[in-house]
Formats: sequence, C-alpha cells, structure tokens
Amino acid sequence: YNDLRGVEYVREAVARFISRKFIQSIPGEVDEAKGKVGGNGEEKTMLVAKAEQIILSCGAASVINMLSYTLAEENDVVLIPAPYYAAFDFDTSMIAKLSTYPVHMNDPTVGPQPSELEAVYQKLTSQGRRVRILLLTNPNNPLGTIYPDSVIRNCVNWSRSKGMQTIVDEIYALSVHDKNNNKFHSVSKILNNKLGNDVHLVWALSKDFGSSGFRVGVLYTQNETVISAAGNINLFSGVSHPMQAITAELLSDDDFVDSFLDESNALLKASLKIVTDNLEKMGIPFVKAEAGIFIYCDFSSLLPEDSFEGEEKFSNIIFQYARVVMTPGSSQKENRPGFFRICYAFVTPEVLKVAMSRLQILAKLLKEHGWENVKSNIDKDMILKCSK
Amino acid sequence: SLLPVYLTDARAVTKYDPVNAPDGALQLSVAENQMLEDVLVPALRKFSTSDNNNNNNNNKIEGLFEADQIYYQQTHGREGLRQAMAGYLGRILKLSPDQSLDLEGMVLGAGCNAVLENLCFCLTEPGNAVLLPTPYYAAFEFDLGARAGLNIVAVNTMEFNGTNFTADGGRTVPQSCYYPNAAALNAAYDKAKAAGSEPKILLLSHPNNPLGICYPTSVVEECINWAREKKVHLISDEIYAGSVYRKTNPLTGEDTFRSALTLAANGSKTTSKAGLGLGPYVHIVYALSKDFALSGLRVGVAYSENEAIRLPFQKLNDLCQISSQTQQTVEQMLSAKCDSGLWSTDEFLPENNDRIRQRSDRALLCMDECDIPYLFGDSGLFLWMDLTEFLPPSDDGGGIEESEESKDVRERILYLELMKEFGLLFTPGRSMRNELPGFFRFVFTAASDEEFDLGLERIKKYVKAKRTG
Repeated sequence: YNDLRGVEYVREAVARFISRKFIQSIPGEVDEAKGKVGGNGEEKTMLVAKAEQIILSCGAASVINMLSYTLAEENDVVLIPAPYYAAFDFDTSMIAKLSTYPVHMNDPTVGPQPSELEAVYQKLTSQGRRVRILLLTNPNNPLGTIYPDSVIRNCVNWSRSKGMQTIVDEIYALSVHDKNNNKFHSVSKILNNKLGNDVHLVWALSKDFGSSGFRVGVLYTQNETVISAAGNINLFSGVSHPMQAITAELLSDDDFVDSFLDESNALLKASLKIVTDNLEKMGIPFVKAEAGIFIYCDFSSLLPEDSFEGEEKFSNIIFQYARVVMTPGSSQKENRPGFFRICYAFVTPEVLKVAMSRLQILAKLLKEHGWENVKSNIDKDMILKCSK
Repeated sequence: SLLPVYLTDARAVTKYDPVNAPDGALQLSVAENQMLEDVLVPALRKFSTSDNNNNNNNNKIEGLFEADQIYYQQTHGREGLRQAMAGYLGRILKLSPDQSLDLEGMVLGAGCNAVLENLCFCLTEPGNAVLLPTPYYAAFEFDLGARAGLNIVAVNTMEFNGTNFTADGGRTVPQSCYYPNAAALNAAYDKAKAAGSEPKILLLSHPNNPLGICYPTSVVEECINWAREKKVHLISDEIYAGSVYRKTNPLTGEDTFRSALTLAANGSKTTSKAGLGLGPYVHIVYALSKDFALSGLRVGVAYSENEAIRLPFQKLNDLCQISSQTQQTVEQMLSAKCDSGLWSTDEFLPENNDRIRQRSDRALLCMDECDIPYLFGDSGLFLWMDLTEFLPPSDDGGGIEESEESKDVRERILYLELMKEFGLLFTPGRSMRNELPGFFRFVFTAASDEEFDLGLERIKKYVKAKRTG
C-alpha cells in the first residue's frame, strides 16, 4: 500500500509534465521555494504544478466521479455546454448522484457566453435547484473546437460570481492537429496557475496517448480539501503501481512525448482530411475541427423529417445499408436534429475511406430518389460496390 | 478526522530503523506480508515481459503489450483474466472438477475495497445495515460507510455462545465464542431493524481477520442458511483464502478452510446454466493484496450469481477498472506453469504458506514461553493475543457491567504502553470492535526477519517487566 493519491515520485513526474505541457512554464523561470519577485516588486506566480496537487485515478471518468462526489451534494446540478460527451451523465450521477443540465448556445463552436449560462442558472434556481458545478471540455468533444482564452476566463469568472466550482476537462489538450495552431491554452496557463479552490483540471492518457485501456486519469487541483478527500476515497479507484511506474517513465521522456504527439497529430490531421474532403463533396456542412479525434457534421439535409425521429430513421438507414455507425447528436444533448459525430481515428485511413465513400453513395441515393423510394433503389450489393 | 484513534497514536511515535532508530516502535499492526519480495519481484518482472501464449520460446518479447490492451477493455475485466482468475479461485477455494464459476458473474476492479463498495451499491440503499461479527477489520466502516452510506451493526457473539467472560479471571476466550450463530445473527438483525436500518448484508471475513482462524464448516453453513431464510445477502470476504497455512485440522483431519462458495453451491433453485447454483444471496470478494502481497496492484475480485445486479454491477466497474497492462500481468501470473503444475498455486502459495507457518510456529512458541493466551491460528497473517492480564484495573470494577468507554480507555493505556515504552505496535482489539478489552492482533508477517526476532524479544521483555515490576 502507498499514498492513495499516487506514489510520490510518479506524481512528481506527472506534475512536471503538467507544468511543461499545460502551464507551459519555462524551466528556470521559477524559484522552487517561492514565486520570484519581479523588478517592480510584483511577485511572480509559481508556474509549476506540485506533486501534492496531483491525484492519479483509474481514468478520467473516475476523476470526474471523484470531483462530483467531493464538490457537490446529491441532486446538485452540473451545467454542461451542449452538445456534450454522453457519459458525463453516468460519471456524475452513478455514485455522486448529481444531475446534469445542458447549456445550449447560440453558437456552440464559440463556447458558452455568461449570458447563456446565466439564463440557465436563473431558470434552475427559480425551480429550487442548487447549481453547483460548471463542466467544460476544452478542446471540445464533440465539436473538435478550441475555446478562446476569453471564453475560459469569462466562464471561470461567471462561475466564481455564483460561488460555483469549475471543472475543465482537457483530455484532448495535446491533440491539437496543427503544430502552429496556438489557440489552445490550458486553464492552468490562462489563470497563471492560480486555480484557487474552485478550478480543477482533468486529463488522462486515454486520448492524447491513445491508451484508454491503461486507466490513468489525472486531477490537478489546488483545493486542499479536495486533495485531502481524494486521499481517502481514491482507495476505491487507485492506479496499479506498475502502471504508475510506466506513466512516470512515459511522461518523463520529453523527446518521446513530443515526437509521439507530433506524429499522432499529423496522422489525425490526415484522417480528418479524408472525412472533410468527402463531406465537402457530399455537400454536408461540418464544424471545422482543430483538435481531438472527431468531427461534428450536419446531416439534417438528408433527414426524412426535421425531427429526432427523422434523425433516428437516418441513423438506422446508414447502419443498415452503409454499415457505418456515427454518434447521433441526440445522445449528446444536441437540440437540433441531424447532427452526428464521426470518430475518424477509430479506424485506419483505409477503412475510413470505405466508410466515407459508402456514406457518399447513400447520400447520393437519398438525394436522387428521396426517402420513399430509397429502399427499393438500394442495391443489395451496394456494400460490396463501396468496398472496391 | 477519518483516522481511527489508534492510527493517530501510531503516527506519533518513531518507527524502528536498524541504524537510525533502533529503539523505535516495531510496526506490527498493518496486515501486510513483507516476507516475499525475493520471490515476487523477479516473478513479476518475468510475468510482465513473458510471451502471451508461451509459444515463443526462442525469441523473448521485450514488453508485454498487445495492441488490444491500449484500448477500452471489457468493463468487468478482460476475458482472459477472468478465465485465469476463475481457474485460480477454483483451485484455492477447492471447487470440485464438475464445478465452474460463471465468468459473467465475475468482476475485476481496482482492489477489494472497490468491488465490495460497488457490490454494496447494487445490493443496498444508503441507511441500510451491514451485519458484521466482531471483531472485524476496522476499515470496513470506511469502505461501507464513506459513499455507500451503510450502517455497520456489530454481531456480538459471546453471549450467544454459552459463556460470559470478563476481562480478568485468567481464562481466555475460546475461538468458538467468536462464531456467529443464528441467535447472534437474529439479535443483530433485530437491533438493526429497531434502529430503523434495514439489514441487507451479512459480511463474513473467512478466513477471519483479525482472529487468524477459519470458521468451521458448520458455522459457515449456518450463516448461509440464515441469510437465505432472512433474504439477507451473505458476502464472504475470502481475501486470505490462499494463506491457510495449516490446512488440516489435527483432531478431525478435515480441511480447515471451506469456502462459502462450495458450501452454498447447488443450494438454490436456479435456472442459470453456468455457475454453482448459489442463487441471489451468496457472494464472495477476494483480492491479490494478501495472498500475493500485491496490494499495490489494486486487483480485486467479486463473484456473484445474482442475476438482477449483474449488469449494473458490471457497469459500475467502469469507474474502477484495472489497468489493462496489470490485468495482462496478472493473467500471466495465474496461468504460469512450473514443474509441479501452476506457479501460483503449486509453487508460490506453498512457499508463502511455509514461511507464514514458520513465523507462526515461532510466534506461538514465544506466546507459550511467555504464558500469553492466544487463538491457535491456521490462516491469515496474524495472531490474536490475549493480553488482558496486563490491562490496568478498571474504575468501575470491570466485569460484565463495565462500560464500553471504560473498556476503550483501559485498552488504550495498554496499547500506548506497549507502543511507547516497549516499542511494540499491535492492532488493538477495541479498534476492531472486539467485545472485550485487552486483545491484540500481532501481524507477524509485517516485519523483516530481524524485526520479527526483535519483536519476540521485546514481547518477552514486556512480560517479564510487567510481572516482576
């Protein structure tokens, strides 16, 4: 048995990794004991994460569960900008028994505005609900977009004005496709590493390192009560020591990490292009994805009717005839029918091309023949034709 | 503070170190087996690198990573591991050749605590009661209370076993006085109901922590029958099943340990084709933490044939899955062969049990020499000692009428004296809700050879000092 938050040297390695890749502190800029005092007497913030502020748990799901349990009471509400990752409902409710509430936005790709958060907040509060947590995902799932710094800042400020807690899930932080795209900044960098007691950063190996099977989730928090609580309840969700050792070794190998991420992002970019090229040919609008492993598309023009029943019918047809599965927007609390998330990195580029050409053919058939006739016009061998 | 008093006390004292703190206290109160590093570390290194199917004899594969391991796994554990674990459990729990576990009833999660907590989430509502025979593993109060919100209702056994014992008088408590029977269980059941807490679970530690003994077959059977009749879920925590170092009762020649699974098998009219016919009320939990001293791996197992909870129980495991690489290592470990059969059960556990028994023999010899009464242990990593002789006298005269508070106070004085003045840290029985004060658990495996020898010396010194002093 060891420290339930993670073996110390491992947390040190993870803290250093977070400092380098998220806070992006420059080595030598920081005095380990105190913040440096600048020339004009202003104290510079310590720009490093400390080992004691890192907690390792078995997956980001487990971290979200732990935060849900420690930051709120049963039946409290978690606001989540929608559309959002469907499993957040499970992670926040199964043990912690919180409720989620989607925040629909004028322009989801831009991120939530304080006015949009406020409107939902007022509505829920007037119903007697206690709104306790704001859960952001940046880079965003399912949109693949990156919130500008201002959105993060405004959200944190709004949240603080309400005495709420903010969780920022940055599980796709290192999967920004273009090396020259500097839009993404971790909340830890935006806030100059002053997370206070109310901002908590979640990350994991699962997406950026494609290793969801390892179950290694990271919580970076400066809230000592959370740290202390985690030191007890992480009893139920610890990472095995050998896996922790592997994690420390992996994340300490700066050269490997950087070259791996470069290669990974190049591959993601290439696969994404396969999808977007095809979507453009199909005339299907999509959200320009800058990060992550998915793309969010608008198939509403192909629905038999503008409703979620229509979305389901469309889902069934593409499954039945094209044998393609996409995540329907309705499962992610999307409020407009016809949106689908395509996870293009789940298959090889070759398989992806097959999938996209089948979708193209199906879309063409739907446009040509319309819904009433499409079934009689789908060749039984359509699938075989597509594969060639 | 969530920490029990005795642990806070223990933290305040300097621990033994051969060079820097030779007078420090010997930490003999944490249930860990520290005697196996020389066997385990090389073995684990081998299992973390060995070839999956043992068919690659010439080319040693560098690392143990199959492509499928890096992705999401089956929520309740990789199938290969569940198979290997089922085979392993079948061997140590001594299932008969025609009996096999239902792989879909097995859940592998990040430690016994995790799977036990999830089992509770599935079987109970917050505010329900768990019946636990005393003395019990103190951390159950956290495990079952922290998030699952369950109340522990102690099953006191002594008054239902025919005799009342007092803290003095020189007699010691025979092990039969610790056995739960229907009368004791009914009393606890009624007490829970009267307090408005619906009793939903009976949790047995078998082999027993802290007593270091296995419940006899008749006791386990009585518990199973009682539980089924009352529709209370029996969870048998068999985490020490592989550490039964005295396997046969010298008087009767029978096995000392019979798993609740074997005793409950075929006892229920059930339509399930796979499994043992346990029905919905009998479950077990297990882990590698004790038998394999691998607490750091966080590998816990739960087994249930309750069909109603099957899916939710699997799904809850999503929040406490074991790392795939660790699962693979453990699968290797449990399937690895050796000359005499399987490494885990035919080489490692026998060696482990040998070492435990040697320590036990020496510890018991010391107890005999010191005239300290104890329970003759057959399993686990510890010895249950009766140090009532050395308790300070009670303010209110002691005896059956002694208040709970007085018992706690007196034992704590003894505990602190052992710790601070004689450098001996044992787990105090009252922290485990033992009915009587003055009993201590001596974890004789939680020490190096040198520390163990020193521990025995200090015990002898203590006894001498107290009796002549």
